[in-house]
Amino acid sequence: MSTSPTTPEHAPAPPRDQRGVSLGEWGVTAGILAIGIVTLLDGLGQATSTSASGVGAGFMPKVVGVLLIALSVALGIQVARGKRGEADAAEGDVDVRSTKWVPLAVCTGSVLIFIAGVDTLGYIIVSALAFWLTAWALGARSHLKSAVIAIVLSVVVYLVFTHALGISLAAGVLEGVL
Amino acid sequence: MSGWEGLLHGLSVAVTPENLLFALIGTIVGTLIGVLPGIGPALTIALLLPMTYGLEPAAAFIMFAGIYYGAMYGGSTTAILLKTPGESGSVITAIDGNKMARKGRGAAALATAAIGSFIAGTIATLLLAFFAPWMVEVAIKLGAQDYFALMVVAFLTVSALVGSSPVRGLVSMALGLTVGLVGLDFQSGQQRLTFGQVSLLDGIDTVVLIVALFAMGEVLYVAAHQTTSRFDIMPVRKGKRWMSREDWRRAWRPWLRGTSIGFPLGVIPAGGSEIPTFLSYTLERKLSKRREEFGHGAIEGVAGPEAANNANAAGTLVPLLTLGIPTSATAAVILVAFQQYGIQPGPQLLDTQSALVWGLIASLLIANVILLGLNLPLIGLWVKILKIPKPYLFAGIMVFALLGTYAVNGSAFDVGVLLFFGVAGYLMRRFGFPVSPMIVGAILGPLAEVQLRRALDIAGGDVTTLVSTPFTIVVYLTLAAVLLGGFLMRRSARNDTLPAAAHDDEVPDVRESSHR
Repeated sequence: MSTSPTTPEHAPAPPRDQRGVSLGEWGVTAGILAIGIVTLLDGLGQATSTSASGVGAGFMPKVVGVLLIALSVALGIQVARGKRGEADAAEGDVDVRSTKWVPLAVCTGSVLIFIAGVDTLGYIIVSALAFWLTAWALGARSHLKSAVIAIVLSVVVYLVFTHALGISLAAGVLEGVL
Repeated sequence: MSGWEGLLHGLSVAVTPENLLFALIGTIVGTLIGVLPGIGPALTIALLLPMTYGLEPAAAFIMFAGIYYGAMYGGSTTAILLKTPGESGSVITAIDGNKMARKGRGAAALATAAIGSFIAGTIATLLLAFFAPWMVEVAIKLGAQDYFALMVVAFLTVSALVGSSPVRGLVSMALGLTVGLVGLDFQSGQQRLTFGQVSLLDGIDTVVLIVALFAMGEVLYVAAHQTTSRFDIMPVRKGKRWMSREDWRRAWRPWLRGTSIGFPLGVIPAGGSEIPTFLSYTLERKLSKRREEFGHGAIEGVAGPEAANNANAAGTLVPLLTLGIPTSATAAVILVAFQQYGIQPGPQLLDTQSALVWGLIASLLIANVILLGLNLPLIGLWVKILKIPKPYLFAGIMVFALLGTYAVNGSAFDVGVLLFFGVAGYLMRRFGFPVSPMIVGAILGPLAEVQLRRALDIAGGDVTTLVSTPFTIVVYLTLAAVLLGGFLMRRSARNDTLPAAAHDDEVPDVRESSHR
C-alpha cells in the first residue's frame, strides 16, 4: 500500500493529467473569484446603515468580497507559477491523478434522489437507495448483501427516530405499512 | 470560584449514577465512531449532536466530554493500525505508530497512545480547571475591540498555520466568513446572500455545514479517488505484552514533554494541533539517542505527539469556555452544541452556567479514566470495528450524513445545502484547501462581526478604536510575531521530519494533511 505522491517532484504524472489538474486549479480559482464578486455585489447592494458608526449590513460582505477577490488573484499567481494544492492524503489509498467520474456521479446522484424523493417515496426507500448506491460506487459487489443491509439499516433508523426519539421522518408511500 | 472549588463542584455534578452512565455511554459511542476511518472528533460530535437533543444540558455536556475524548482516542487507533489519521493532530502519530504496528508492535503503540492520552488529558484538564477562572478575570475586563483583536488572531492563525499553503488556508477561512454572512443581518435585519430563498433567511445551519464538509466531502473524495476498496489493517497480535519496561522508560518523558508543548499552544487563541504535534516529534527526535529509529517505529514518536495532541485539545477549551472563541473545528462544534441550548460561551459562562461548565470539565477527567480502563482491554473490539468493509462504512457515513441533515428540520432543502457544501468539501480536499478554517470562519465570523460593529458603534465609526487599548496593540504585535515564528517553525519542523520519511514511500507525506 502506498499513499500516492501527488506533488510533481515526487512522481512526474503524464502531461495529460497535469493539464487536467491545472484546469481544475484554474476552475477552482475562478470559482473563488466569482464567489468574491457575488459577495462584494451583495454588500454594495445593501441599504445604507443608520447605526451610530454608519457601519451596517453591507460592511462585512464588502470586506469579505474584496478579501476573496484578492485571495483568488494570489491563488491564480501561484497556479500560474505551477504551485499546486497538495491533495488530502489523510484518507490513505487515494490517487488524485485520476478521477473516477462514475462513482462520483453515482454518489452525487444518490443524494439527488434523496432530495427529490424523500417527501413522496418516504425516508426508508430513499435512504436505502442512497446506501445501496454509495456502497456500489465504493466497490461493494455483493448486491444482495448490500440491499439487505441498506433496507435493515433504513428501517431500524426510521423506527428508532419516529418511535423512540419522537423525531418524524417522512413515511411517503409506505404510510400505513409501518 | 477557584479551580479547586470548581472541580469539586463539577465532580459533585458529574458523579451521580445517572451522569456517570452518560459519561460512559459518551465515551463508548465516541470511541466507536471515532475509530471509524476518516471520522475525526469534530465530525463525531456533529453526527452525535442529535443524540443529545432530548437530554438536559448538564447531562448532554457530560456525554459530550465522553464523546470528545473517546473520539480523540479512536482517531489515534485508526492512525496507528490503518495509517488513516482522519485528523491532522494524528498525522504524526501515524508515521511511527503504523511502523510499530507493521513490526508487530501494534499493541505497544496503541498502549503508548492510550496511556499518553490519559496522562496528557488529565494534566491538561486540571490545568484547564485552574486556568479558566484566571482567564475569566482577564476576559471580563476586555472591550469589544479587544475581543475583535483576539478573534482576528484566531482567524489568521487557524488559516495561515494549518495545512500546506497559507493562501489556501486563508481562502478556506474567507469562504467560511461568506457562509457566515448568509441570512438576516443581526442589527438591521437586512437580507444578505439569500438570493430570495426563504429557507436561507436563518442562515446556513452549522451542523449541516460540518457534516457536509467532513462527511459528504469525504465520501465523494474517496469515491472519486480511492485506489482500493479494502483497508490495509495491521493485525494486533494476541497475547503480546503491550508495553515492556523498556517502552515505559522511553515513553514517560515524551508524554510529559508533549503535554507541556500541547497545552500552552491550545490555550492561546491560535489554532491547529499540527504545530504542537510537529514540535513534539521534532523535539523527541532531537533529544533521542536513537534518532535513526524515528520514521521506523520509534515509541517516542508516538508518545510525544499523542500527548501533545490531547493536551492541545484540552487547551483549546480554555479560549472556548472563557472567551467564546473556538480555535479548532472540534471546538467550533462544541460551540455549536452550546448554542443549541441557547448558551453563548464567554466570560459570564462560568458564573451563569457554573454547574454545566464545571460538570463538563470534571467529566473530561472522568472520561479519561473510563477510556484508560476501557480501551486497553477492549483494543480487540475496536480492531474488529475497523474490519467493516470500506464500501459499507462509507455508505453508512452517507446515510448518517443524510439522516443528520434531514432529521433537524425534516427539510429536503437542507439536504440540498448538504450536497452543495459536500461538493465544496470534495473540491477542497481535492485541491488542497484545509477544511477546518472554513468551519471556524463560518462560526466565528458572525461573532467577530458583532464585536467589530459594536466597537465601531461605541466609537462613532472611528476605526482607530480597534487599536486604541494596550491590549489590542500587544495582541496585534504578538500576532505578527507568531505568524512569522509559526511559519519558520513549520519550515524547520518539515525539514526535520521529512528527510526521515522521504526515502520511504510508505510513510504518509506529512505535508498533505487536511485539518479536521
